[in-house]
Amino acid sequence: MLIALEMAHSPLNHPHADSSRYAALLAEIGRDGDGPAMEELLTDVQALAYRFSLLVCGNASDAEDAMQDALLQTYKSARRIRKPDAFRTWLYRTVKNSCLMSRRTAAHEPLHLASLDQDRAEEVASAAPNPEEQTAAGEQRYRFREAFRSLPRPYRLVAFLRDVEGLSTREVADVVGITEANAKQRLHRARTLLRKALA
Amino acid sequence: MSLARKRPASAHCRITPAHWSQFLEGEFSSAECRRCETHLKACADCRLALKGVRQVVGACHTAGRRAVPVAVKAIARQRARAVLARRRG
Repeated sequence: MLIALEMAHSPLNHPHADSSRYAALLAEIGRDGDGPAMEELLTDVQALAYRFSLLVCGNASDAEDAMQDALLQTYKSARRIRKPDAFRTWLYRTVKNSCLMSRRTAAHEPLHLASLDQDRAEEVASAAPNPEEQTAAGEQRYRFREAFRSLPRPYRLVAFLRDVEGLSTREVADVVGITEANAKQRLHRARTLLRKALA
Repeated sequence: MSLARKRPASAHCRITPAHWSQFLEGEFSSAECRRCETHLKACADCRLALKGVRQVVGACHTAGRRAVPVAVKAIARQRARAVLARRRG
């Protein structure tokens, strides 16, 4: 039986709020520079990098590097980007590259994590169910995460961008570097596989 | 799209969940959508398949977005503050 989750806020019915949020944050950053809006944005992009690492890369131990990289890249670029839609595409492409880069780095330099704040790295990397996840809702999220990670990577990436993050299929195609038709095809396949995995 | 006009509603409807994913994405013309809706009224299999795809999309949106533990969010905020403090200082 599929896990029962509320459908009222399906991204199919409601465009994702991130776009307007980023627009507001970028406008404020344009006025105030390194103020509270920049702090919000830098916090958001790290959360995004974590979600990406966890659900797409399939290994939360990559999250540490990806979060750091997303934080620094965004800080360098946020003030130069005026169009929120362009920013969103740029951001997801940056996070994707950060996560994939951290995987390549980890494969060649297994001790890389040791150079970071080790306690934090371990905390970020812990993918096992934590106390928060030991509730019924938490267990559903854990099951979802495992099912999501069972998808082949190309499908996982597209499903993440469209159904978790709410990008349009055009934006998904831009971020992944494929045609929109191909993005749609992968999306439908991913949903079919995910349905089976959650059944 | 080949749908209700070619395939009768039955206990073993062969229309795939991917079709209903396309339907939800708004990939069909209004005439095709009407055919889908007509078919759905008659086909319990497809109603179930559509419900399943909707649940998957809903699960992605809710469970996926809530995948970041509170502790990680706190670390992210501390790091953002630390970067900004270093730049200011």
